[in-house]
Amino acid sequence: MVFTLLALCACDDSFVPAGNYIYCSLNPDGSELATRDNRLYSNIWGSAYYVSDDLVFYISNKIYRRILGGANVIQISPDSLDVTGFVIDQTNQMLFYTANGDIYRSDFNGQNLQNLSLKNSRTLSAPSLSLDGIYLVAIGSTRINRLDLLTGEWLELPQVLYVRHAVYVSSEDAYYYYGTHTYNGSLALYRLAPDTEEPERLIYHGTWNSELSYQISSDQRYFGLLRRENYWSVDQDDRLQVYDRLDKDTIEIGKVFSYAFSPVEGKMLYSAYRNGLGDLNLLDLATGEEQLLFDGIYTRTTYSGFIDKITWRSDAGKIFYAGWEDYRNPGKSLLSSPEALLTNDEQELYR
Amino acid sequence: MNKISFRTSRLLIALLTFITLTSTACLKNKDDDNYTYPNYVYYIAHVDSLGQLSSYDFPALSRTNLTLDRLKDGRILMVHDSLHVYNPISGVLTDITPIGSYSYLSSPAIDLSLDGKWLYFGGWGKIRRMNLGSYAYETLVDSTSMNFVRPRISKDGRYLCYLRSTDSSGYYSHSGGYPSVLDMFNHNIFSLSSGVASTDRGIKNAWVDHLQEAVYYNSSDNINKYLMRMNLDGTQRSVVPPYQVWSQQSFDGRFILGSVENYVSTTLYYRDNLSMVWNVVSGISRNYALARGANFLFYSIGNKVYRLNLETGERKTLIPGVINGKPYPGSALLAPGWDGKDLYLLTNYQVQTDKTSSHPLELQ
Repeated sequence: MVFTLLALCACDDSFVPAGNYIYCSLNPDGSELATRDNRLYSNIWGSAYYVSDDLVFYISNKIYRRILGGANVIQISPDSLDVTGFVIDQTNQMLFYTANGDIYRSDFNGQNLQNLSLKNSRTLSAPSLSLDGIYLVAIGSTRINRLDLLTGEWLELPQVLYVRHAVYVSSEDAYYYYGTHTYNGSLALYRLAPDTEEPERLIYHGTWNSELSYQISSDQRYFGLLRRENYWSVDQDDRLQVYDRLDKDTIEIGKVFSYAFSPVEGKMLYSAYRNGLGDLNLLDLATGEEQLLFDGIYTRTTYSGFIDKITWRSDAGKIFYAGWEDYRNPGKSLLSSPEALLTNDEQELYR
Repeated sequence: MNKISFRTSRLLIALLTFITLTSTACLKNKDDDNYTYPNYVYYIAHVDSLGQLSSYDFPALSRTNLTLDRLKDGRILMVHDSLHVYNPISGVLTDITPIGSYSYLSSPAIDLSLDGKWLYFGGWGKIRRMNLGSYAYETLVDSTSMNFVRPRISKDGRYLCYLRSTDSSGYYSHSGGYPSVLDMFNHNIFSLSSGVASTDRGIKNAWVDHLQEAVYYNSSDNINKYLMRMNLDGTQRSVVPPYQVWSQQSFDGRFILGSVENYVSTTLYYRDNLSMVWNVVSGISRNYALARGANFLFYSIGNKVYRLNLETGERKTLIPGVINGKPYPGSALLAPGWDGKDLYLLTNYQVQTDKTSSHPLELQ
């Protein structure tokens, strides 16, 4: 009888396999369903920066480029340099990257490599480029350092410390930066106006820095700060704050897994936990209009647990994302949340 | 008491039934009453420059821990607890073991100079080299208390890189240790300890790229395995992705080849240093060899053997899975010719106990 029971256990249809980490792509106009697509992301070469289908950069401690989904990968930074950060100047087809404490410039093929740092300068990291392409900002020993690419002059701002990442907005002659303001403070967004000693704090979460991450839109108008405590789940405190530099306004969205600013227009794609699913929403940051691009349901038996990586192509014509696909028992309701938005007919469809 | 006995007896019957069922499910030859262990015959296969296959006898030598290499004159160097040179054509086996000066270390424990004249080897803590013409040898790195292993000579013959092992001399494996470089021109020695013992212990392999005057080495932190690069003075240590278990340089320094292993197979990554393009060869059966004098890579996938021209990317099948209508049994070791035009392989076939199977390379 014992052995019979053991045999029967293997036939129990309530067994649900563990999920998979999957890669997908879709069009931002929502014209097609998301499809499995592993051409962009790589565990080997580093984080992907999707310029075009002919050009994808990968950054780890080296910089690589390849054609989307291509077999060959070209290493464009030398073996001797340990890359810590980089920024792309698409207009002039140049790369700026910090490595071994200095900052370098090269073309998209790694040629014409030039060390832009001063001798005995601080160890530099987190480079950024002003929108006019004139000023290069990097962080040296938690201070903001700025290079005028036309004159070659370096400027250091001694009045602020504990800076993680900064951009210089030429039109305002101001710096927007993520920093902690004290040695072990909580990461926040600040603005340092010209000729001022004290920066203005713009968005702040007040939690451990290990739970915080930030992004800046390519037009340097929107600044995001996301709090996410656990990798496998989100709660209401895991909110995203987005500061609009022009409108001087902040929006907040709760239960956000991940987000990415559109590189072209004032939009943002984000994944939030709704109704037990990790969805994808396209938000117009100017108007507040929102479009559901992906509701989180893959098939009758699989759904999106969460999405933790979103990447736009630089012309915003394509999106790749990665996340967990979880399984469900088809005999049970997919909807675990009492705030279900599906109609009874839709619920019946997914049972 | 009777009830207890009855219950107990039912449990015993169920247990005996279970044992009987599972024991009969064990895989046994249908002739298991007369089962004998399979008998394998080992031989040396050879693929010549025209792709013709032939076979030669395997010499009277233990295959335990055996690795093969090729000398520039085409003979096979057989390395294990002794050193032998074998000419398959004549069948002559020559013992070149320097008695008292050579001790076995897991592969790769030796290296050959690019001009084919010198064999670099370790033995009882010292690094030596042997002239392959006269078989005379000399000590290059002497030691009484430390154990130096894994000599790798740079392609220009100038830099000898070796590792300081944390194991006792004569130990058959290398647990890790920092590299040192002997400049053969001026006899300067660069001792490249990182200063962190745990970091140094993770280094299993190192070699000098004479073109960059840099040291490449494979290191491990017990979680990941890395290919690292540093200057000859030990500065500017940097990881070179992708993470690799093992690495080597082609004869002309044009290619870096590295392997990443998983439970099932090996993936090879090789980079053309002229174009800095990384290429991938997946699914290899942990059996590959780079020609010592040409940019040809030989590898097996399953029972097929291929040759890849690293410069052009052209792949040629040397041994298909079936030969003369019989399945090729697969190769244990590969030893390509210096110029990459031919290949020796150690392989075997199983002799059936109830009938004699013919040699796979014999015509039907």
